[in-house]
Amino acid sequence: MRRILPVVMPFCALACCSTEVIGQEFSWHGYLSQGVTQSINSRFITDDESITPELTEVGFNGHYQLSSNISVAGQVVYLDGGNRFERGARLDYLFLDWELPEIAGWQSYVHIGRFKNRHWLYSATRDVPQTRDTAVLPQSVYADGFRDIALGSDGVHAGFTRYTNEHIWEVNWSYGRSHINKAQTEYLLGTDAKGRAKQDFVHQASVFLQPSAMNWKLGASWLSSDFRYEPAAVDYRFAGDVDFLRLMVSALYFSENWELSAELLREIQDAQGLFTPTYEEKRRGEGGFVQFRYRFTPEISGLIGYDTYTHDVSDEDGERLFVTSGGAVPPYFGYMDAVVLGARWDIAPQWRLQAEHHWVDGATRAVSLLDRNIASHTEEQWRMWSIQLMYWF
Amino acid sequence: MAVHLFIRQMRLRARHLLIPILIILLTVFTGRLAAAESIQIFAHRSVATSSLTQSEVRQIFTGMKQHWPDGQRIRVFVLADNSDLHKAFCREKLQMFPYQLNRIWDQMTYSGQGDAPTRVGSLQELIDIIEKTDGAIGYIQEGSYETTKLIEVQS
Repeated sequence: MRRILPVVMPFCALACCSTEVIGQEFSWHGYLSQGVTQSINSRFITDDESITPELTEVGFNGHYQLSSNISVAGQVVYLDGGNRFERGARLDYLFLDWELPEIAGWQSYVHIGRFKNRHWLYSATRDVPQTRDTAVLPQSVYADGFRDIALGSDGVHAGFTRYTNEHIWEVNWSYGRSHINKAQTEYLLGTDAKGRAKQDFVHQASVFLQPSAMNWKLGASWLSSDFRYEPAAVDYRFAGDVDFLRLMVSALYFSENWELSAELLREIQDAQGLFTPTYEEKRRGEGGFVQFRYRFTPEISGLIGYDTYTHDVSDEDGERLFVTSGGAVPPYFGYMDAVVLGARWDIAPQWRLQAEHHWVDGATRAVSLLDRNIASHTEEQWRMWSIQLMYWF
Repeated sequence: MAVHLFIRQMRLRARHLLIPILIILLTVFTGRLAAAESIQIFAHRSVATSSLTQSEVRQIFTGMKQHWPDGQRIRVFVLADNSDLHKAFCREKLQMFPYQLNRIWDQMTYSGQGDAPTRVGSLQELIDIIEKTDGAIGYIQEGSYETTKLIEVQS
């Protein structure tokens, strides 16, 4: 309840204060998606590596226009991705959208409540299957292990856009925090962690440039976040905190028959405490992806993509990770590289069938590096595939 | 396996390849589609605006501008993706591709930014619904319909 209140209160306050209600302006939409999937030589999706229907995504959203410049928007989703993230229903977003007066040619808005992360190419609609190129997004940037933290936050987001005859400038800023669930706590600190991990804040900013025809988009984003861990009365972990910084550049290009997208990132993680009272670790991870889609016909297209991530660039082959873990963590958990091939068929308006196959070398994003059974979780070379049918309205 | 071997070889070069790809994106693909004048924008008679800039037309049809200057809600109506008129409208007035427009509408609709335009099945249906709906806007082939509310597009 304490988590819900900060999200709901702004709406109650606004409903009382709004004086220029212009009628019942409500609209709603949704999507349903079901697939079959499998990970081979890895427990990334299921423990027994079997073919599974654990690829379900359902969402319903509503948009209510309170006045000419104020609206409320919300979406609930049910997700099942096997071992990739916690199964269940979630409040994806619920925010007050306040359009501000134009100043010096800049249009602006503020979202207050549980807002979406609009700083990366696919982050705002990461749960919406028909807006993604693949069911499993490039793990370098969109790692499923801490997926819920990256989706959005409870707080404030502000967006500023300037349209000129030639270009569109978009600047985003946000500040908030996310609830960290048990699955994400275990991803960050291992299954031995019995206490609670909390995000103190996540502060993000981004800037994007597009031509007026929007056929390409270039952007850069910055993220800073602090986490802390409060151990349980009996716990194998100690109190501690983690400072996290992410810098990223993004690019997107649309042509008549093909499109290209790419993002490159650098992450700096600074941890103190947690494993012993005096433990300290600083690492710099780097990676990125590039994806190319070719449209054979308006209905049928194919995709090829490459994704790479190194957990610590000072230990590219993971040998130091192997040594410092006492041999518990094989070197290939220090990196992860993947090639993906995909196909898409738009069967009818609002209906799509999408298939993909990933070949992966390394496993740094496949599982928490603190998993007790990490060595048997994923082999050095592994694969995953999925076929997904989706409908939206 | 061959694919895994390829991935391993790629790994050695990956970071060096990704950066040039981004630089190519930065510098090369900035061409624009030429505009023509065979499509006309028209609106419901309640709309006070009589002319729009090309940028404003794009803002309206991409859902970024949702109200007329007098506060009236803009209601956008379009034909299906496979309609030749819709394709021509996207190319000539928006200088975009229909699939690109769909992508923008889906991202807007499913992230709480607003509503996508309403699609209708035929040109006659498009004309009828725009004539009946306050704040509505859509498009027609030049000369195909006599309307009192044509919107002039300033370049």
